[in-house]
Amino acid sequence: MIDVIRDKVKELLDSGEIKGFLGLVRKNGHIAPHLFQQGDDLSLMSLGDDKVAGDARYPLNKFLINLAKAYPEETFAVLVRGCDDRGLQTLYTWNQLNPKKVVPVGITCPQELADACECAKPFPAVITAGECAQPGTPRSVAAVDALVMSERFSYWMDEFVKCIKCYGCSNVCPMCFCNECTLKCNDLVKGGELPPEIPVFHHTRAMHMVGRCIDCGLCEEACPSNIPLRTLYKKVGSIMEEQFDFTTGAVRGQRSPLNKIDFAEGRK
Amino acid sequence: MLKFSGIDEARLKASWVSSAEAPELVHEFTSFIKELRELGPSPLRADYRRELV
Repeated sequence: MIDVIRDKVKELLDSGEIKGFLGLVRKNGHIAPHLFQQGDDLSLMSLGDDKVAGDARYPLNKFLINLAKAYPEETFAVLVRGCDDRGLQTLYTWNQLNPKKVVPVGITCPQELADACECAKPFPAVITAGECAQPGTPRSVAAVDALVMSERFSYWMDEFVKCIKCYGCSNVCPMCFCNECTLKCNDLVKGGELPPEIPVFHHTRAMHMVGRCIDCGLCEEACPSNIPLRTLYKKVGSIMEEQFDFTTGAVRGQRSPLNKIDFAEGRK
Repeated sequence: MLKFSGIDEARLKASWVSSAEAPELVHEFTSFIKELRELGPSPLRADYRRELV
């Protein structure tokens, strides 16, 4: 699979279509994000599979936003999985990236990763390399739903109480692009308190993930306290699906139903 | 989301009351306070932090 990606990137770079390819590199025994430019050694490229598939993923779209801001005239290619692709569509919709300046290089996720992520669409819209895996079966949300109310409450409170308020979840989140963050506002979230006010802190973030969370799961991977954040945001996503038939990032340009006020004003 | 977190949904109420409908607002408040009294103290009042120390 990586050879196909390498050839594609080489072709894109040589044709001058792109200024650089934002992907991953294996260097000094670690996998890290890297911007490949013309003349760079593509043999060190990695797809984020260290020991098991997809265990070294990064919020590449987040870095892409910064790149695009610094070099607004340039076009960049970016390595995308199914989740990153949903992220790109959503970032286009939110005017954080210009689709004319982004060339997605799509890879599929293997079945084991799709199952582990319970991913609804483990492949991007345009696939450069790889075979489509079956969607993973959702389990985590159902497992919490199966608990009785009092058990649910203590389950979540026992998880939330571990929070060290490191902001890892929002720092890694490719969909967290607000200039001002509610969770960093001292009037709303008091500084110097550990854990933060629970469950309000985590519920606030969950509410802000409505129509934004693309279910990439990086938050849960980044969390040093292993709080099952993904399950929380999966629930948010499933409510959006049930109530509004809306899946974040599924259709380009499709706005969150909570932005309907724009439609009412005829701005669309 | 409250239900998913094991918090009784009846503890949250949203009502649409116009600024011209003062009696309506008072009614909403008094009836909601009554409902909350029946539900008893909130589970959120328990101090979860103390268990850590």
